[in-house]
Amino acid sequence: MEALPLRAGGEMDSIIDRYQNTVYGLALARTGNRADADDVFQEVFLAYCQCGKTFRDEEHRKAWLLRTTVNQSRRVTASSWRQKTVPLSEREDVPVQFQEPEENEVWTALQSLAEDYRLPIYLFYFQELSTQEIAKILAIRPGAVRMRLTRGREQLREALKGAYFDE
Amino acid sequence: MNKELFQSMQKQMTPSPEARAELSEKLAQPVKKRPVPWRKYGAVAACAALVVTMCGAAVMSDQDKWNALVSRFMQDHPNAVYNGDNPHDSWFIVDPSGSNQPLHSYVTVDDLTGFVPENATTATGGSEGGDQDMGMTPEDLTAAMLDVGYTQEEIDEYQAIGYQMTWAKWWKFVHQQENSEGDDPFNLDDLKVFSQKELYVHTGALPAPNTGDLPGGAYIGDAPSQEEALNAYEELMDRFNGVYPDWYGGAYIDSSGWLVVQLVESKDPADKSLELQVLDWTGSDQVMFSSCKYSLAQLKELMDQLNALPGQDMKFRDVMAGWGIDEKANRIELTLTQVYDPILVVLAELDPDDDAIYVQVGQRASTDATVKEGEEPVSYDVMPGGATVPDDEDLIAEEPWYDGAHYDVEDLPQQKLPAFGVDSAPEEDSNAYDPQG
Repeated sequence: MEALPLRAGGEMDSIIDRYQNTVYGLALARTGNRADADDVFQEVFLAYCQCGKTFRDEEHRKAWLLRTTVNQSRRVTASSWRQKTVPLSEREDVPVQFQEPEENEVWTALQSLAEDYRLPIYLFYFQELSTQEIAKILAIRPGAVRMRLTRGREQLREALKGAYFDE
Repeated sequence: MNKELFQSMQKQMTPSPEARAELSEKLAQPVKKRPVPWRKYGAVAACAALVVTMCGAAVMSDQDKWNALVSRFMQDHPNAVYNGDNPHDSWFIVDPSGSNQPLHSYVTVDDLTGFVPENATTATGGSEGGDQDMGMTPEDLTAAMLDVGYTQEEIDEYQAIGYQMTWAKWWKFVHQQENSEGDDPFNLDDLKVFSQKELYVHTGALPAPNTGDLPGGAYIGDAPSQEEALNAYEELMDRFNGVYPDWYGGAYIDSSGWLVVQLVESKDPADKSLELQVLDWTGSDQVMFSSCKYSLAQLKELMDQLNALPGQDMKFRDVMAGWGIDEKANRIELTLTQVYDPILVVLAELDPDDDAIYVQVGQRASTDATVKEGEEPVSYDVMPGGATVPDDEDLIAEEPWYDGAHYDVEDLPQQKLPAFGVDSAPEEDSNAYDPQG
């Protein structure tokens, strides 16, 4: 992996290329629709550009981006403007579509989970983070992450009726 | 889980080209300083001013009372300097050389003006048992259980059993489960097993304490037998042979007739070896354990220092009415006949943490207030004067929140932990957890 400057603000295109799927995926898992995820994606990288921070290493930078994504996603979904206006617009009704039917099925099952379970499941299985990293990003205890993973996984298995679930 | 499927989905989670182009455009613009929200600040300041004004008017009478109390204290303590506006701010004695010496805290047992004034660093939140442990209310327990992921049904089922959970035991359970290997550390069965080992069942029908003066018309015969606990205590004392180890913080018999052995928190290994050793020594199944800060040896050493004080100063002898070790509260209780700053200064030096000696100012204590060496542990529930402990902070992890200005992970509030320490997430990740394993 190419070494990028650890000071925020430099080589923005490279940084965005490297982390856009990470940020966007988490935003999509959290908000549930692509328009909001696009907003969050932009806000996160704008904040990154403006923060003027120097990171210790790539892990630190990634953790910062993920944590900021969680915060920005909450901000977007919790805004009173969105709560009052978005449900009546069309964009909320556009489902997130993947290429394969089973992918859509998994996604629907994932979205049916409560947020408490959905984010740890997403971060663990899609982003392949450890429970310790997830605990830091979500500001909960590692034990709670493990518990949520276990229960979220059970609910996911239930929702998928065993399909696409290779133990 | 199907890793390939997730990877395929992850690859498709990309922002729209429009969003990416818009972002590039925004990034190309010169960085604008965030506008200062003066209007917002102004509104907040106006609200704050209004609240202060309203509160000021509402608490005027209390403030007057407090001012009167301060005046009275200043009369009693001509050298004292008051550093603040409320009872929990600090008092200092000013000596002629100009340096400030802290005073030990004390509690007056007679009600002067409706307040119980506390000085120095004593904090609020007293309860039976002092700073060793605090019982959890059903609301506390519900919140704590929700925090680690129990469902409301599980909480209801657990609370229906009636275990009397305490904060120390709760965090012990959490710590134990977090370090367990299982997929689902916080399950109800484990909590029940833990509770069965560690807790009472509070049925509301516990026998009254064996004080000989029982409320509600009960008589002494109703009290549980203490014989086995006494035998266990004697066995324990025989083992010590007059020399208390540094992990032993004292012992007492509780209201249900069990011997409670206090283990010094900093000396108690996590592997329960001390508990097992004590159980082995006593050979009794009516022995429980509690944690404490000071060893009995430390308290006895402190007692020796206190015993020497009356000989140092005639005035000390006059004001020191009685003192003794309270093993249950894990502290020394000292009664003074009056507030005397020099002795408070000495006590502050002897007890820098301000929690090993509980000082109360009031009438002369009766002779039986002092616990003599070799005396059997006493059985009583309500401690005189109450105890003061640091405010127990909210233990529920705070959710992250974007405040509009900071994005840094390190800037976000840390998880709050109980005072005696529970392992938190290590700074750097070590081993990834695999819930499939």
